[in-house]
Amino acid sequence: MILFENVSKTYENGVVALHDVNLFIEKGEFVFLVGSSAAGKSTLIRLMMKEIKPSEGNIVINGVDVCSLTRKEIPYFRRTIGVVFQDYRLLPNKTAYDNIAYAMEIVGASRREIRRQVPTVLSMVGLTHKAKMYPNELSGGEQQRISIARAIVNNPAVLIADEPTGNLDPETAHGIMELMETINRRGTTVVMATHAENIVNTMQKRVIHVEGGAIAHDDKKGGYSYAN
Amino acid sequence: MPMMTKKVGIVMLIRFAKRFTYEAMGNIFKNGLMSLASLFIIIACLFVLGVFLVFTININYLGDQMADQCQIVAYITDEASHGGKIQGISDAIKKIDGISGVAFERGEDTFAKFKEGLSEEELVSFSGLPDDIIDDSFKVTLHDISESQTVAEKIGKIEGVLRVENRQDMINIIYSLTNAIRHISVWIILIFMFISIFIISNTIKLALYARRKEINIMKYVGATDAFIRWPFMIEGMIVGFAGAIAAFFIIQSCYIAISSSLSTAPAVSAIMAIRGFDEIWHLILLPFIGVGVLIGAIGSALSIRKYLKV
Repeated sequence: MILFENVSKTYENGVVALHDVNLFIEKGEFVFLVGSSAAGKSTLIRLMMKEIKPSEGNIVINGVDVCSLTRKEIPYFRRTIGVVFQDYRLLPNKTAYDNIAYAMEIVGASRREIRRQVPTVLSMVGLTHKAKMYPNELSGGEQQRISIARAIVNNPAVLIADEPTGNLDPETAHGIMELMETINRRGTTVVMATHAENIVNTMQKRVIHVEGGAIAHDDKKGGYSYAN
Repeated sequence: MPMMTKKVGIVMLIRFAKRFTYEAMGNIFKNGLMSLASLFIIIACLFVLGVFLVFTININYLGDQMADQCQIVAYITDEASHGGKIQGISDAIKKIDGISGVAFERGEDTFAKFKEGLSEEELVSFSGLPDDIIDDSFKVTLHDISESQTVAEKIGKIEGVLRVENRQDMINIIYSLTNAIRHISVWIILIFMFISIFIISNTIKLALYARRKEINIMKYVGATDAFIRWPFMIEGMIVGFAGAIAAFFIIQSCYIAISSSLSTAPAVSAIMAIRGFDEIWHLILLPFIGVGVLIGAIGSALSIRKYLKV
């Protein structure tokens, strides 16, 4: 569950990124965040990850008042949300397997739990055979699959993806989207910021259109075309 | 909510400790060049520190030797020595604070010892003198030579003590000299530790700059600061430990080479005795390991601070 209440964000350099945004995303929803480059999509995502603080308003994610989190509580909060980036952000000196295992190690999972869970997510993203490879030995699509596997290995309630298909060709991107949908079907809330018009149109999911720091449209079963 | 709990059980602590050490070991080799640079800096700093340490140890040793020679001599009256009061005076001296030893010496023995050091020709001028020309005396040694003045005064007040010989001027010089050197060494050692930490943390900062993306990712995945910091600190501690061992062996070979060349020079060995390395090795090795591990850990912790603020 994600709730934004009258959220505004003004950066230190004076740029108003969001202005009085109200937003409610229910548990288990699949939501696209669309909008042009400086519309405020990234600010929304960064607020959800508690990378930045809102200037005004309240944000509640999974029942946690994100604004009141102390510096020490932030890591524990981040473990409840999975994050996927456009540039994959895998640890370069760890294998695919170890990258996923790392997310479990930080929460103090036992070796046995790790050995059970990591292969499960690896097979889910279809990369069991590439477990021992390093990120630079994998293709972009494969790296993104590993990064998704890492994001979901601790069973987060929310998966936030910032342009996950941005660096991928349409065919690979399609595979990634199927994976996202599978994850969503297991009950995980998925929020995905994207520019990919065709993906949004074919998926027929809720589309939140952000423009000029405010929500321009919010369509339950939308397509990118509504935006224009 | 359950995921927000911060309680860490003992099992988890052991699990973390194992993981951190494993991670640190791996990182030392993966970042070989930086580890090597840090290692050499630690060795260099510890070497300088070791030179001062060795210097201080020997100055102290020298001071102690000279202080031992600077004993207080209390001569007693003839009445006291022949009237059976020797034991009483000895007990009275022993009661004074700060005394480490009291030895009684017959005047005859003192004279005999004095004559032993003379040549045949010199002896002639002392022939014919009665053997008991020198009064019986107590040789008093102190724990702390700085107290010799007060102790000497107290001894002087004991009944039966004729006069007290106290080489105060000599004692003062030795005391202030060794004290000054001790102080200077402590400061130099502290300054060098500070410089080492500074250099080490900068070296590690360079290494971390290359790894800042990695740290950033760790933070996004939800790693706590401590979880990210520990492997780096253990890495620094291992490098510091290795540097300490290496620096120790370098100091050892230098020390042995210098002390053996000094002992063969008769002019030097007559005035001062240098301590054997087998007597002092632990005085060097233990501080080296302590300081090496400490600067490794502090250096890492300091330099990673900046990158944890995400």
